[in-house]
Amino acid sequence: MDITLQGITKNFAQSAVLRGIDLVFPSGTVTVLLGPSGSGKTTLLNIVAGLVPASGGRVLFGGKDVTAVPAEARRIGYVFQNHALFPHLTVSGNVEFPLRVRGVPRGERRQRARDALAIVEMAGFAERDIATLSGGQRQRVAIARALVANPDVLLLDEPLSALDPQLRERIREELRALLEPLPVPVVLVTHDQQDAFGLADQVVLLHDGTIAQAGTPRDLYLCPANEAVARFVGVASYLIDAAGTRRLVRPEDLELVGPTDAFDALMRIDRVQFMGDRQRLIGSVAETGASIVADVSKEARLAAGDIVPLRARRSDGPATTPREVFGRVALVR
Amino acid sequence: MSPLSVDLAPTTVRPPGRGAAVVLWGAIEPIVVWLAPLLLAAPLLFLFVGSFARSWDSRGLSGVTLANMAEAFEAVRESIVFSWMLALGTAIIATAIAVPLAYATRTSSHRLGRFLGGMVDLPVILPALLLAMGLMLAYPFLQGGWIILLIAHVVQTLPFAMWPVVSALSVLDVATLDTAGRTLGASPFQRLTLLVLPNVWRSALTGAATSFVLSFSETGSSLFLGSPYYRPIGVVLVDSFINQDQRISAAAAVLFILCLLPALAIIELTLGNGRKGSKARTEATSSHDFPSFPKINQGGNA
Repeated sequence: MDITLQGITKNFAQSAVLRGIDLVFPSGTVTVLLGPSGSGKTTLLNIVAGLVPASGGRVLFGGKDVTAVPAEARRIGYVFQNHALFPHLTVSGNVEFPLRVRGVPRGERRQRARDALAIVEMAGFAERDIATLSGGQRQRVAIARALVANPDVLLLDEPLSALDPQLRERIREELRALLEPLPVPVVLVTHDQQDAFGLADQVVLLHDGTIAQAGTPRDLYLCPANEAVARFVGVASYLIDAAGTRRLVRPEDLELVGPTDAFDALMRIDRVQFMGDRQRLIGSVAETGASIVADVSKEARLAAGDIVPLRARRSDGPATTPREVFGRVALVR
Repeated sequence: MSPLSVDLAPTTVRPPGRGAAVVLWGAIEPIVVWLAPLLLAAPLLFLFVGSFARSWDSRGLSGVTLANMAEAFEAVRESIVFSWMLALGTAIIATAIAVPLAYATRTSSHRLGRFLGGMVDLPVILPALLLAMGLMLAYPFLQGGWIILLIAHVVQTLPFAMWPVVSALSVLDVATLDTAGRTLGASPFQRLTLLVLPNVWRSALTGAATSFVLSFSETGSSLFLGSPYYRPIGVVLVDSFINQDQRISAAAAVLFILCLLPALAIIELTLGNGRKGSKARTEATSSHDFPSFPKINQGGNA
């Protein structure tokens, strides 16, 4: 069952938070709502859930208008940022809760809770107290609880934001594996580009209450609709090509070359950031003064003030590479 | 010591010029700590001893007898039974209102909910006399009956029944749990009974016991709203201290205190269990969520 949003608007005290959102969340697809704070992504998620009423527009669950239906009457699964597990119930009690309030007999709900816990690999934790679980385990219980009543849509609000970087990467992979086979639309909110790209089939980038761009992670990264999108989903330098057009260059598209090799640009380095697996050079094109960022090998011995030749690698995607964009002669000489 | 060893010997650093203050506080601390219990214990001791005294006059106390207690029991028996019933009814009604009201004020985003929550606190700052006068003017047809006393006691004790519940709901982050309940399909009644009550019953019991104690010992509004047929124990005690032998009054006061002991025990037990429970939860969470840090060798070479 697809979820469709038609012309959704939301105003808080005369301030427009959402300005006419049209979207489809297809079944079996993970859609990530990405955007900076205040872009309206959580409000949009809560409108889908029925927790926040829309000021205008319609929410359709498989063609059925549920705009005026309250959250408790919609068939949704919602995973909260802090998981919101019930502290007085065991793991099994939490997962059984949505079945209990729907009047499912005790025996059946125990079995269904066991099945849901098995999906998230928590079957052995059924009788455990919530307080004894780690953050990752709590998240899995929250997902099992959200899925046990066969919802029409699974919604996740910033599921990884409370985790430290190492754990975050591992949980992201686990979450991706959990969400991938689900037959319902999955909508996930995050402000983190890496989480979005790691989890999404489709990314919707919201900016100031509107959709700045929607597409696959590859689309957003390689063919950003505008400069704001390009900068939000990664480090972007904008340079002017021979024809006078501003063009996007990603740091990883540039590589250092030797003094006798052919090069595409001479870069004056202002700052060198050691990133562990690589070095990030921040500076400007020597001749034009345009800002540029390049990622180079961690072995290169570089310092602020150096002028180095850079060459563009050919990109796999549809985006133009610096060589194509600038042309060697036009850029450097 | 090896250059790699870590010296973890405790070092005492005393701020300059604070030695005298520390010594002074050391001297007065026992007085400050013991003053309040002693101030409370002295009158209780006098009441207790006086209630068993054969005579109590300007020369002091003398002799031991149970006659005062028997006479006092006869004088306050009916009032104690009535006050027990009144306080029990007050505690039940106040708690039945306090829990859903606290839940509504904590989860409602409407100003009306918060306004109602604020209104509940009004009797704390208003004198009981004013409340009694207002009730007499508003409900003249209830005067002389027990219902007007019940209304007055419920209104006066409601804030005290509600505060422990509000506090428990704040710690619980009930707004998030309520929202979670909504997304899982629970109706408002199911959220109250299945999510809120199981988490706040101990606080609700504390509030109920507090409400019971306050109602049982209430005199301010009861003096105005009571009648010859419905005289709460507080009114009888006031009457006794003004008009009767002080040995009888003391005995009546001791009986009054004995009647309050079960409620005080409930308050102490529920508060004590609450403290124990919260500690256990914190420990379980912290021991599991955080990895153990490598230990530093405190002695010898590292």
